[in-house]
Amino acid sequence: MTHGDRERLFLELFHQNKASIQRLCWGYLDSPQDAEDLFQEIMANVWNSLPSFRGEAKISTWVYRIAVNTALVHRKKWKRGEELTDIADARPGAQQDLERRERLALLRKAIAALAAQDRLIVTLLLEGLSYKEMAEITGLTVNHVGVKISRIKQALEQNMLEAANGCD
Amino acid sequence: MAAIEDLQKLWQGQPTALAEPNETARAAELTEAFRRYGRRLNYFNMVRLGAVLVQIAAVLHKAYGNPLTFCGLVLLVMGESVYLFSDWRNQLGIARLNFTEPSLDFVRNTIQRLYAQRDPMRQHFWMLVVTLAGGLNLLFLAKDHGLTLSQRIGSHLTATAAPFALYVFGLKARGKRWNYECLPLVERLREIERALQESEI
Repeated sequence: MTHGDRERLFLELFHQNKASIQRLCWGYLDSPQDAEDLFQEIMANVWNSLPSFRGEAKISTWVYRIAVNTALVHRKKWKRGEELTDIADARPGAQQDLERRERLALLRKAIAALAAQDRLIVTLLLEGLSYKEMAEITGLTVNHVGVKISRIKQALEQNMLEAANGCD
Repeated sequence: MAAIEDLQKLWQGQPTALAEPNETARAAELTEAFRRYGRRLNYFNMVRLGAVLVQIAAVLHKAYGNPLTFCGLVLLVMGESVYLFSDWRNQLGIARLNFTEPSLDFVRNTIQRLYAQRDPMRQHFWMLVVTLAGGLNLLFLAKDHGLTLSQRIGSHLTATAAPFALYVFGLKARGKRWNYECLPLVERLREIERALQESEI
């Protein structure tokens, strides 16, 4: 792969996946700065791994796999403790309708209360990926992903209720 | 609870603040260039570590019965080890730098650290010279039975001068390697430095 090809492919991948990968980072980490750092790290790893991409998987699945692996390693370096609620206000275009922002804040709080791996799985679920794709990305079996998602949905429901009650 | 489709819509409808792809690619490329530099130096340092380990094995097995040879080799190993690990640690520190959104100070500091790699022995120069010269003199002392006085003086002068000669030779060898390994990195950093200076103005 020439440098030009690599750059073209990277730009294409960047534009196709930037929003979903950024949302994955926001779902996974608490502070906007940490999420931005993780996003940069993922994109750097995508760039570095491009020459080894063999086209065996769908390219978006491949990017997600790099994102998930980078996030899991990044997590070890990062200390938990901050709340997710400020992140919506830190981004441009955040001053949309209040109800939508509140629901999003609740969802983010509910995600924040999940375990690290479950956070990643739920962000993949929210991105609309199939169980098969999630299994490919996380390295779990399709059945295991199904079981996990069922548990995560219950936990998410519980967490959203608790978060909503906490806000009242 | 809302249906998962509603949550998906809500989640995917978040506004996103996006980085510049070209900057990300450039940062990733430069960071990877530094990682490659680090990997290359790791191979060199593994070889040097191997040489030190061989000497340690010699100390433990061959020179155990001879106090002068033993002490000489211990001094040599000590000097080499301090130099090797201090050099390796500095190189690893440079190779692990991340160039995502670098500041002007960060870039300048990195350039300085790369230039310091041209003369890595400067910080430990006297420690290195004293231990090497001391070690070599002890080794010669252990073997100089039967030599005339002038031969003894000659051998000890050689042992004392050898570290200085090694230092000069080492600097030249290092300079050649530096031009090959570090100069391309310095040139790329200079470009970033210029761009950052212009953006500050």
